[in-house]
Amino acid sequence: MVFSVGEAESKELYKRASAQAWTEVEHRLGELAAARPGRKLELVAVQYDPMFEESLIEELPDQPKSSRPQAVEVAVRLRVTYELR
Amino acid sequence: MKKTFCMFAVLFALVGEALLKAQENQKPTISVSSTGKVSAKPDVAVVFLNIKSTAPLAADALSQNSKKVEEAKTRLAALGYKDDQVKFSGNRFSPAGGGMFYGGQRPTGFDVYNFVLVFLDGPELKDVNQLNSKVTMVLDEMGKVGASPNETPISRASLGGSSVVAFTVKDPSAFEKEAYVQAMDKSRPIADDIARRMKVQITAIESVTSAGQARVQDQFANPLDELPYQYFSSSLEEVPIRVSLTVRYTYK
Repeated sequence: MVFSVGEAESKELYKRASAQAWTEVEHRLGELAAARPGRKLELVAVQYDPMFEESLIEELPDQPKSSRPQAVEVAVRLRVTYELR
Repeated sequence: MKKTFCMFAVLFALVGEALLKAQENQKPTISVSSTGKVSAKPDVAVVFLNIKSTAPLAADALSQNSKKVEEAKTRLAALGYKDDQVKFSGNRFSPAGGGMFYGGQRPTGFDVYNFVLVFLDGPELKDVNQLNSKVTMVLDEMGKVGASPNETPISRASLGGSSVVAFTVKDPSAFEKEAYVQAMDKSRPIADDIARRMKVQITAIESVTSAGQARVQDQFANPLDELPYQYFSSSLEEVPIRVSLTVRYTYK
């Protein structure tokens, strides 16, 4: 049996995951800046990839799924490129 | 030793300068990957069959198979199928059994096989009973000449597993466009959300890259390779058409 969520809830989950990933990015950039006093970190590119968005099973919709009724998880990857000036 | 080090240092400095110049011309971007998916009603069904003969000598296997193919053509014509509704891949040879033959060991015989594809694109696609009746008629009639149904992996994974009938659409361009628009529409709010967190504003779309849908790859002969169609489904109800994009936005 597979458990899933509706489209609206799926969008909200991805939004929350994206916000969490961005907080993580900011934290890491802060650490990098602290390790290089006097230099400036400038973002040049951000790449957003939702993970497992597509359903591997043809008959099922492209929504996050879980084998557990308690929780459906989504994941996003934010890849940040920065320039050290 | 010191001189060598200095030369390296200069080289690095030059490379660094070249990189900086390249980056100056490059605008900062936010890239978002997104997928659009639409379902199309299939307008073609394809029945996959295989006619195979095995004999110790390749010439005998070929002769036997050619006779079966001719009989299959006659029977399909008798069922009302025209030339453009049937496709034969042509006779192909392989070592009998499909095993591995190490050190130049000769196989004990040869398989000659010929994929047969029967296309159904009439009113039967609107009536599942009519479709099933036509499919069973083709399967049974072809069984009489020794043709076997060829199970084809038409998707990465399907609850129905592989199937001897695949459904597809002749011209997917309108559906691809719809899926493309959907993917674009999905990407913009995500880009805006990231921009808001970065405290910048999206200014334009710099590029859109489309990643082609990967068809199932198999190391063995795959009858799907004989078809001019791109999207397949085991369902008469819908053929999923996905378009995956990476949209690159510039910001300031």
